[in-house]
Amino acid sequence: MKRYEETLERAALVGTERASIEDDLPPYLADIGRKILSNDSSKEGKFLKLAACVYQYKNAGILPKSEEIHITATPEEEEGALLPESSARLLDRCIAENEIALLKDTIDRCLTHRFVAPHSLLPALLELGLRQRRDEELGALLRTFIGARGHWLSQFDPAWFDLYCIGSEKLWHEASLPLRIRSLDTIRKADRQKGLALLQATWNDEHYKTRLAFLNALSSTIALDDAPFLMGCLEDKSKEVQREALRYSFTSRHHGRSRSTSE
Amino acid sequence: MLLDEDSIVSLSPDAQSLSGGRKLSAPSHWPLLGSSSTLLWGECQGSGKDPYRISVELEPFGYKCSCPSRKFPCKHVLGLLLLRAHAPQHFSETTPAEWVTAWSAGRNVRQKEKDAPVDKKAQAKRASARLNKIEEGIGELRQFLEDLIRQGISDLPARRGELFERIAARMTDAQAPGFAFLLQQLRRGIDYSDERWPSHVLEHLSKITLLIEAFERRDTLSPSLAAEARTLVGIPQNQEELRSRDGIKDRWAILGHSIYDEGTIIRDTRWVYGEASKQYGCFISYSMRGQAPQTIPSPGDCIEGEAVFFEAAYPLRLLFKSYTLTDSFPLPEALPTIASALDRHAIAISKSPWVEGVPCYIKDLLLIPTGDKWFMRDSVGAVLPVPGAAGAPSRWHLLAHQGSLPSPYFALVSPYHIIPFGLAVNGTYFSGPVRSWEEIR
Repeated sequence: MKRYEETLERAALVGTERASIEDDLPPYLADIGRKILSNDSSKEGKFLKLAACVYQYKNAGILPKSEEIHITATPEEEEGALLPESSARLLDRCIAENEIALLKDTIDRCLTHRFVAPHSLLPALLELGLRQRRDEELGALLRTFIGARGHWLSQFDPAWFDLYCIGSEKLWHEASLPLRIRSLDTIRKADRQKGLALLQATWNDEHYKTRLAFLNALSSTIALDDAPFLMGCLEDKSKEVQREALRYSFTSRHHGRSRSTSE
Repeated sequence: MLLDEDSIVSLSPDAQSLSGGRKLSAPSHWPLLGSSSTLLWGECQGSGKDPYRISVELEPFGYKCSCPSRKFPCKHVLGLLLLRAHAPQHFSETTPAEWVTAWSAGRNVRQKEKDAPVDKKAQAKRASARLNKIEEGIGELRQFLEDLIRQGISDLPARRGELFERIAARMTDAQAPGFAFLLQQLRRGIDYSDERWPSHVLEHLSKITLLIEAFERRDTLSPSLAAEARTLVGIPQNQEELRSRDGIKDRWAILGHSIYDEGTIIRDTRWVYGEASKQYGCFISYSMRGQAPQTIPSPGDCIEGEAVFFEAAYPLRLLFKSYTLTDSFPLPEALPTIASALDRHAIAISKSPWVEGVPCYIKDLLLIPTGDKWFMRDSVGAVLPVPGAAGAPSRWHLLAHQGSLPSPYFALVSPYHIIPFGLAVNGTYFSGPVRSWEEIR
């Protein structure tokens, strides 16, 4: 089945001027194929009709693939109650019409009454926060109002992630490796020691490949004050981690020297 | 039209539009309001610089709003009608503005054309001339396909734009818009960055070939298959004749909504499920850009009414002879797995080879984003990709409602992908917002 389909596709790519398709019909195509090949249409017409039979046959028998893909984390229980959908319409209108002042006021009232955003509004709220990212007051309100589900949702979009998730301890424990690396990198750029402390907190429990990935991720922000951590890594269980740590400890000294010279 | 609260409420496409309309029914939103014996008009200040212009004709009823909303009527039209119903004193009797009279005059011309008595002889002559044009176009299309296959498709990614645009335009001229649509799909509907594109192109070309073949041999096919081939080519079925048939009386839950932008034409599709008949169907309306489609309410609503299916080998498209909104929302019986949905797809394509996706309600599905690609996984670990760009808005809504727990989803399923439209969480149905062409792609 697959082989004949590939034969047809190769022939279609190079053109029937240069390829033949008439030989070697597979058994399932024998009867109908003979009828098609014996009719009076052109070679290309016959080719397209054979292709139609092949794809019909194939599509009628495809089974879905099984794959091990999962959602990385589970949203936490909400601390507040979900704002009822009926009350959410005002917020929806504020978002649609970009009425930021009214939106802030409404969110503030919702938070006073311990309401969090209904799920239907989350994508629009997360996106609005991104558009208005310079508005720190709105950002602070949204970070609370989007609730646990909003924080969970924002980990799946890099821009939302940067805005709402960076520094989240839960995320550090549960997110995928690329997101954790992204988080570490962002925190380190803002506060290198805070990032290092976060990394050290779980270092010994990480898989050696994860430790290696984090060491590589540190490279862009490495400096002399990382030396004690890197020295510790020279005693790591994994030889690969030891090797990388050795390499980066030279880099950190070099960075330290460069910085002192320039100062 | 009777301008009372109930009749205005019954026009609303959904609760959100009605709520928006109510908020706009205060005179302060309307810097300009006017009326004549048959017309109402007003300007409503939105968030933009220029106000939206709304015109309503009372008899025969029709409306137009310059806002970009895809809900018909939009909240501005509803707001204007509600304001008129509750506070008519704010509408000054005056000569309509030019933009109002221009719209109304255009409407009247179209209405007169529609109302003119049918000249059967001329109608038959037109139908025959159209058939000739289509057959001529099909001859050219067949030649085009054969040339393409003879020369090979390897350079298609680079030249697909011009190539398919030209032949699609030719099919529009030949009054075979169905072929034009299928050819446009070869340009826009196939992901040429996917390494399997040659397979997808060849499959699509072979389906067009089958349609040519079916149309040319329509007199020898079963009536339903022949009708489907004619419809797919672009010859519309007579809706008046369909309306005269007995339909299926049922409660129909509206489960999904999509909008395809086909250039100047907008295709609006609403997927429905009949509670007693256990049948899925889709209500399709076509409208020119900026005009209101004549459609049914939005997902999450339920209507009670009599539906007639268009004639087809695998009937999905339907129209409603009449309907009213009801409160209950019947959810379909869920299929257990993606594999069982694919069984349904296999049955569908054995009846009609042009069926793309089959509507299914499947239990315990999990929408999973993995970077740029999104997937649906069922309870036994079977996976199908969700097509479209990661930034597409509706999938985020679905994910927000779903969380990390599997839910039953309504989706269109094919062996290559699954397009989710809505899901039920704790018995409540949620649907994503309107999906655009880019998202489906």
